[in-house]
Amino acid sequence: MKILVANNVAPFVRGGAELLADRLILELRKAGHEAELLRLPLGRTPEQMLDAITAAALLDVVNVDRVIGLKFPAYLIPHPNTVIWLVHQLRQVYDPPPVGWGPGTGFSPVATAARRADQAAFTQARRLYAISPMVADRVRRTNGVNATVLMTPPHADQQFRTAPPEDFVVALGRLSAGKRQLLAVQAMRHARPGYRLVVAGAPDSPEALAQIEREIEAAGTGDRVELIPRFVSEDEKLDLLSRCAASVYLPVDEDSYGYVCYEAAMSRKPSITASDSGGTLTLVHHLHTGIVAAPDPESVARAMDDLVLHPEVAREMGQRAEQCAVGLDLSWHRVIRELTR
Amino acid sequence: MRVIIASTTVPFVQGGGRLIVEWTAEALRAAGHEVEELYLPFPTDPRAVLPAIVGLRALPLADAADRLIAIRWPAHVIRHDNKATWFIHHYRELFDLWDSPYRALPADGEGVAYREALRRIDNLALGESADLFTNSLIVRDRVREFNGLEAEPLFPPLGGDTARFHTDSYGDFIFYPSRVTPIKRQLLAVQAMRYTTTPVRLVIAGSPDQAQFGADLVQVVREHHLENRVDLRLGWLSEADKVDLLARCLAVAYLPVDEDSYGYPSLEASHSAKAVITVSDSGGALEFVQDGVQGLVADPTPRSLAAAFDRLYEDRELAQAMGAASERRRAELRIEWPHVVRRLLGEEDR
Repeated sequence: MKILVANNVAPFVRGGAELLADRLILELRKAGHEAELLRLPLGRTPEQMLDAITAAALLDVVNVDRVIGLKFPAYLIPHPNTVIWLVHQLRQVYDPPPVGWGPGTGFSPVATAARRADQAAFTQARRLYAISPMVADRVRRTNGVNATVLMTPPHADQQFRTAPPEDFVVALGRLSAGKRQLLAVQAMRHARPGYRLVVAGAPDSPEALAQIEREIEAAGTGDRVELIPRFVSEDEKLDLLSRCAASVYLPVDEDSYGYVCYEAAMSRKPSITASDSGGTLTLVHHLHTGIVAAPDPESVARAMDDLVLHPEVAREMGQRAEQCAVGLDLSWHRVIRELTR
Repeated sequence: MRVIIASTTVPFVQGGGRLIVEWTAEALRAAGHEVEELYLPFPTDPRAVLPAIVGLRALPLADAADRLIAIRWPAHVIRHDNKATWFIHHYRELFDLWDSPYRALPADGEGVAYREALRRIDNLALGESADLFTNSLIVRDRVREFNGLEAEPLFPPLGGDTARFHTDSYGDFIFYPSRVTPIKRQLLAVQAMRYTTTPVRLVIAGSPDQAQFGADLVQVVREHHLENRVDLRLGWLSEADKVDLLARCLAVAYLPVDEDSYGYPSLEASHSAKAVITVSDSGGALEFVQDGVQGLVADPTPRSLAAAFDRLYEDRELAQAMGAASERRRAELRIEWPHVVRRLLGEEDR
């Protein structure tokens, strides 16, 4: 089949969705299809976003057997054989503030148009998939349509390993307000003695790093928090995961299951996440594969204490986490089969 | 500088219109700029064109980069505060091919009105461009004729590392490297071989668009017993083999029908210091080749072309001198990326 993958583009910015689209193209080609990427801009102002909807709706795609739509507004392009693998709706339309646009922000015409366009696209698509249960829930709540959950496989095929737990808990991922490493660092004020927190990842912004450094300074926890504020290689990451007592990952309302939780599980380690972390709950089942803590420093500290002080319990949770991760069947083979059938 | 290059495509069709975009992006990056390439599908049916243009016009890119470079029609309708249009052709079936069998619409009231609507759109989009370039003198003249606007010719160089081209010898064969298709007139080159009087040989290499045309060539070669003097290499030609044949040939033949631009084979000849043999109705190739300077311009007949082949075979020194002139011609026409990049970004030339 000739397959056009439709993604959006914020010119000169690349992130997870771009990696996902590139990988999808590769996997489609590997499976014997012809695949090309189309990228459509969303714009920033209300006027631009209305224009973006018009541009997508009038795009005339010929010589294509199937469109796989990923993000708004790209999945709006009209084609009789569209399959949507929903990475994102326009969350600003559907979520409450601060993510969503409140009343009086000038965006309400965009919200109206986007809802209408989404509704048409979701009902006309041949099939609708969502990259996580969170995204499927949202589209059911807001648009009243059912999406099949088809989770994104991990980027790389890694060689996970497991070693006996050492005296640290690891917090991986880009350092950013949204990933909330700061909460784990604050928890170290309340943690029992005897173990460390290793925070490793490239800072999204100088401010994200400065905030964490200020907290360590103010709390005097410099000897208990090891900060590795840079890009961490795959091998370093797998090594830290293999030796840790547990992984702590506390994003704010994440859409996906979180690669960090997946990688911890595949390394047979339990994860600590927060009750408002969203998609991470796919893999972190409270007291079964890890601990779901309230999003405050004391609760996170108690969760870390529990796992470090009870290595046998942690080990069993790690094993169950791996079974749970394997059970998700996160293979590209399956994704391609679904998206092309 | 942050630059968006926008062009239109028919998905899954690889053509020269795509190469110029990729090579321009490559050259801009090499010059230290940040580049986003946007390839926008565009329909081929003339009746689908108007709504699709409205869609392109709506793309919210006005402030998304320091500069937008629009290439294939009608990417120039995209709005941007600092837009350069590098115009490579009109909607040909409605303009330069209107008086031809390729006209896309009936020449009645409706067809004319449609054409005029598109002309006004072109006028607007070309006119609002901060800088307007064409890839050839022919297209510059057409923009003058159809749109009343003055464009600057900016000749597209070859992409990639051109150091791969070299010169080994001036051998006994004329080389015609191109897509094998009726409008490139490989058949004329084969017919010419019936009338040559020297032992000059012909090597044709490239993939046939349609199997039938390839079969026709084979048939003509057989019919006239030219097997020993015409080497048909129909199929995909590796870059290494092409470079090698260019390095060893006597001269390059390039015989398109009324081409829009000089065509990449002319440039490949130039980079290999080889003369170009073309014909008087080949169009853009004549912007590169002046008769008797960088090559020979024959009449589009087998006999005239045969005479040109023979002349170079008998006078290798002439072939070599014209090859050297062909190499110099690029500098005369400023067919070089540093110049093209500066002009596309609106900078004055040094």
